[in-house]
Amino acid sequence: MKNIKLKVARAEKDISQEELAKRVGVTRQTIGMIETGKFNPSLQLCIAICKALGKTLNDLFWEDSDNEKN
Amino acid sequence: MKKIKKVVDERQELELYKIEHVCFWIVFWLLLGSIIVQSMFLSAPFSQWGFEWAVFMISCGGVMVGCYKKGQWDFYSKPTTKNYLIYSLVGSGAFAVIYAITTYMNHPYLKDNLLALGALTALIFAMLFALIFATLFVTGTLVKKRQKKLEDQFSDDDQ
Repeated sequence: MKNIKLKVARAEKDISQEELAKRVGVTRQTIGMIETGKFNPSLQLCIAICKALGKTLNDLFWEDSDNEKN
Repeated sequence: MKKIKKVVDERQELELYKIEHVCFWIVFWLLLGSIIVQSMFLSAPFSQWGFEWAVFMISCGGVMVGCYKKGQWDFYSKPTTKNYLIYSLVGSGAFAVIYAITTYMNHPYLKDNLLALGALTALIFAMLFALIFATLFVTGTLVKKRQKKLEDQFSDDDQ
């Protein structure tokens, strides 16, 4: 399941994958894989990403049941 | 003891664990295969494959102790009597077939006496089945007890 919300939030803040990765202490590939739905991050990493982007877990990681199958 | 700081993130760590997991099981089965070929097909002396056997047993012991400590059993099954029976049948059946083949190859007098070979194989099968079943039963019971203990340790009941 792709995480478009994360990509949008990152674009809104004008932060590259590389920059976000650096802020939360992971590799750029990890951020890329989270955005494309290839990797499910831990809650700890989700919170770190939310803090780095000034968003809540709901904003970035909650999916409505209608969108969950996408 | 000071831990060495990891330089990988959680995704890389998981991927490394997966790689190590796959490689461990490849080495495990190849080592078992090597021991079987040397000891049974080639009739090599214990001194030739004893070290491999020791390494194999250490890995078996390590997995058993690790699984017990964490209250884990298997990826694909639960510790139930039905599963003990299935694993015991498969394990002892596979070994009995190998035993029958190697005995047939290495003992010419049994080639003319298939009844004796069959009886010997059946005996080996029965003994191994009982041994594997008993081992699985004991370890499964221990793991279930451990699981219960760990559940209680992390329960939300007020102490």
